[in-house]
Amino acid sequence: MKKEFDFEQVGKRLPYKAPESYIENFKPNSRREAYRKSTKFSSRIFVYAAASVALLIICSIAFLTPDNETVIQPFEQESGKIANFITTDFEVIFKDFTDEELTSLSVILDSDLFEN
Amino acid sequence: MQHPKDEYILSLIGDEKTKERGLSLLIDKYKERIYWHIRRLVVSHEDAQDVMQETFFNACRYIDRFESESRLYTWLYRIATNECIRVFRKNKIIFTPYDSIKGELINKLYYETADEGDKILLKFQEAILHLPKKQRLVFNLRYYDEMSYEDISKVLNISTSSSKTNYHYASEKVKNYMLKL
Repeated sequence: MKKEFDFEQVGKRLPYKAPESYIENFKPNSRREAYRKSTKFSSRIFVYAAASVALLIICSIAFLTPDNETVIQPFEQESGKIANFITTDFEVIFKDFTDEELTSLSVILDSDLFEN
Repeated sequence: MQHPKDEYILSLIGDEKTKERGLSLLIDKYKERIYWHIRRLVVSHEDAQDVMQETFFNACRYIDRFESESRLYTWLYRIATNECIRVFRKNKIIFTPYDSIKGELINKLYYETADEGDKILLKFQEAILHLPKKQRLVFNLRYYDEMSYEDISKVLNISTSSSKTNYHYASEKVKNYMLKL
């Protein structure tokens, strides 16, 4: 006969405990969280965006330049150009964003569980 | 303790004069359920505290965006679940797969519950932590919170049939894991 596990053996009991009166006394701490969230998002969106632009530039250099026109530049010169482009480009995009707007964008971006 | 109905809480929140009182009632009504939902997902109390703060801070901040067609508690569970997933990613390399976090969560489970608790309860949590992310979320919401498949689909932004399928697979996997005891 096939053995079956009975969920009743466990029920809804958990092996965890919450510190005494933690839940009872819980209150959200708004100011610290607001600051942390806005700074966290600012740095993260910059990393994603910079990585995407760098990838696009690398792809365009690698695949769109015809072979007969390829001129190999010294590495320092090329990487300097890319870094300069990324910095100026994102400074323009994010310069005028307030922390409030960045946080709102974060909430929208994070709304899809399985995309994240 | 008898909690006020959501409609009453929302009516208080809708008026600037009574908004603070409404938010306070909302927190009091749901903090316990949300805490245990979070705790089951992130395992450690330290992470759960962090997620609780973020969840209720966001709920209070964006309550004006709450659409009255949805239910307050599914909206709160959705925020809390998103925050838990954010914690999974914290201090990790971007795009870390959930499977690589499992081991860490299981270690936390034994660390947090050292020298206490029933072995079967620990094994049961271990079985749940071994599930793939979506199945684990669905299983917790259905088994512990007794949420309907429809509500689960709203919390996780998936279809009702997907909720059912995921719960079915998750239950089978948990059963099989427990039989290995």
